[in-house]
Amino acid sequence: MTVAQPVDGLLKPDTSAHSPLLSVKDVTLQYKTREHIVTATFRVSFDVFQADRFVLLGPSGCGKSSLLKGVAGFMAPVEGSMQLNGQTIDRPGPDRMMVFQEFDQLMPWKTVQQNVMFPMLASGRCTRKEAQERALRFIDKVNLTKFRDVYPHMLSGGMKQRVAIARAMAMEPDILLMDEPFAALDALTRRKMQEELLQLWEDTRFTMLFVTHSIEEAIIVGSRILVLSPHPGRVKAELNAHQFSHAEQGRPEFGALTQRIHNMLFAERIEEEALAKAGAAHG
Amino acid sequence: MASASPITPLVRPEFEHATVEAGQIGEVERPLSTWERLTNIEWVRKAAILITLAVIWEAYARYVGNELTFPTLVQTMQALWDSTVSGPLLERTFTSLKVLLTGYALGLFIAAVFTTIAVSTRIGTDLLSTLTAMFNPLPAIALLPLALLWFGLGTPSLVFVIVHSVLWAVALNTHTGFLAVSETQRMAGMNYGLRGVRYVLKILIPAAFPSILAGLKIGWAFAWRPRLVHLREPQSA
Repeated sequence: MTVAQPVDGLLKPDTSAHSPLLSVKDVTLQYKTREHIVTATFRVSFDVFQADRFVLLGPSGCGKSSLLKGVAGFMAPVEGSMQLNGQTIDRPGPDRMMVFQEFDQLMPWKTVQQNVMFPMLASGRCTRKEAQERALRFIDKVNLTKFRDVYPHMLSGGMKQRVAIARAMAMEPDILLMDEPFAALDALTRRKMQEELLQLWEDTRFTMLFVTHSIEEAIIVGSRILVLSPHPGRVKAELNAHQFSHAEQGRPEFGALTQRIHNMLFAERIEEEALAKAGAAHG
Repeated sequence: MASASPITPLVRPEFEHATVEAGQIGEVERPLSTWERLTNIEWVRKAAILITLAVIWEAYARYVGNELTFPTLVQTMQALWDSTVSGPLLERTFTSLKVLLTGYALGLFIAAVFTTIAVSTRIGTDLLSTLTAMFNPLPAIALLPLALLWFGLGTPSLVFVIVHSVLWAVALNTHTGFLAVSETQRMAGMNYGLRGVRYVLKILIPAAFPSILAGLKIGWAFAWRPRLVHLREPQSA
């Protein structure tokens, strides 16, 4: 499968002409544990544009999930601002639909179709008829038409995530927030889901903010990657990855980018090791 | 023990098969037998248990042959029929049920108020758990003398005791159920823009429903216990 790009190499995106859909400026996020206040991210800034597949990438503990929760409105920044379409984010809302990693995000007392319809009805965005029509369309998009009257406990993990994606997409949110949605799946299913997600993006060109700790997944799924340093999360780099999908996985460029990001994430460790070696050599 | 030369796995030739058509495998699925399907129905199994118990009862009572200490099933049914048709049984049952349902409904209402306070504030949570720890183990019967002193001999005392036995069980279970709703489901609900009462009605209550139902069942069972006292009351009075 090849992924057509909204902007090819021919035409560099002119960021000054577009205004960003989501703008995160100098955001510091903190959360409380029982004993400490932990800084999850420190002065992180990035802009997400229309139809971006924007990936937040970093090792665990880099605050990428916190950042996503911040954008979703579950966490207020202690410093900095987050704006969606020029409006400051201050609470959760259905204009930013979230797909979680956990399989229990579906309501177990509702069938697949009712689950997909639920946010449309709960937010008062659609009439029942409209919601049903949309739900069926998006359930069909994720190839679950046969299972639309089934309850979540009868579905496999991959199917549950597909329902969650359909549920989020049917709302046609301004931005789709995905918190490691494929992390709990087996490798084969994960690959299939990544392909399907890219195909869905091909069809509808939604904007998404995707969190992952897998470098490979970031390169395949993302069109732009924000690399975060560990604890507290700070911006290391913002890279382009729109030229890569599964088909390019064997290419040397793909490998080179993987290696580059890998070095970025583990640079500190390498430096430490180098220092230790140098110290040992001198000593 | 490690031998001198390490064992290496035997290298075997590779092969690939064309998959056999599923149709040729023969039996892929088969309907269950009538017996299996029948025993899968719950009421059939329960009816079987009841019939077995009835047979044992009747057989043992006939073997004992003393209708004063151990009447047979047939005799018992006869007595039930007689007091239903010509005796006061129906009327008394009705009065009893009325008191029971009043107490149950009142208990549920107070439990709902308590749980609402408990889910919305931290001090409410502490209040509920402290009160539950204090009153839940207290047997309703133990409160009856006190209730009689406060409300006199009659329905209010009984309602009070029933409320006491229903309230704590239901409040405790409902609250536990609310606390057990997964963080993901809560966030999903808030993500849809649900807040306040709608959030409780559309997310918390359905998600905690198994616990709430368990609480209602326990409350219902507890509500019957003080009723046994009442059933004897007209005789002693």
